[in-house]
Amino acid sequence: MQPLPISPNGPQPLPGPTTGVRPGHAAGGADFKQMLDGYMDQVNHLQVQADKAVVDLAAGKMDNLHQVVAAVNEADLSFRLMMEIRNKLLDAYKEIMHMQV
Amino acid sequence: MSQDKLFRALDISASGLHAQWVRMQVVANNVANADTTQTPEGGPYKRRQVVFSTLMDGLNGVDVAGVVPSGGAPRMVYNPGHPDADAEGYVAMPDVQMPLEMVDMVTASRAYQANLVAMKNFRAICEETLKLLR
Repeated sequence: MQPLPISPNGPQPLPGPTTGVRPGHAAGGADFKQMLDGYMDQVNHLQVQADKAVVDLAAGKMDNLHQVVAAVNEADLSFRLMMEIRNKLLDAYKEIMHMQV
Repeated sequence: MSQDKLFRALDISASGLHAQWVRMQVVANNVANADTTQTPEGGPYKRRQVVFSTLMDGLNGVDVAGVVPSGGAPRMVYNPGHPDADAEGYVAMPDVQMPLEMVDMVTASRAYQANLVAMKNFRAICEETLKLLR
């Protein structure tokens, strides 16, 4: 068996017939990142909307107090949901890092 | 409002709050104008009523369809000294009935509170559910 090339830039694909196949990684990895990015965008969008609603209300441009309340509540809840998911992911990551090899 | 919004219940409750808010304003306007005999369109003030309609497919809350004047006949009060009295001394007063307005006001404020409770409860169960992730 040949020694594997050591790269300072991270893991290299294994030589052999499995190269390039890696089931569940190539597609799954990109999708998960996209999903996370999309979710972050949505949370950020809600935050921006809530911020704008509060500013509009303070400036007297908005007369619907309830829409502002709903927007702030939504932004708060979705931010908390994002934080919980982030904490969960970090926990999982730490768990893997502490794993004895 | 999109169909698959995660926290749509908040928007629905907010629309309910707004609808009852408008209703309370209309009642306040009726009470304030209970003795108004002059209006831009002529004649005494007509009691206003608020009309609600569902939003889109009926699952997106409530919308204020409009504030419409009632078609009730004005109350004729004998008061010959009044500047708006007719030849026989009768003044056309608005068809506002105070007890009805009071009942409307109580109903609106109770409905407002109900929407607030719905909103609070939805928020509370969302927070409880988020605790499951801890």
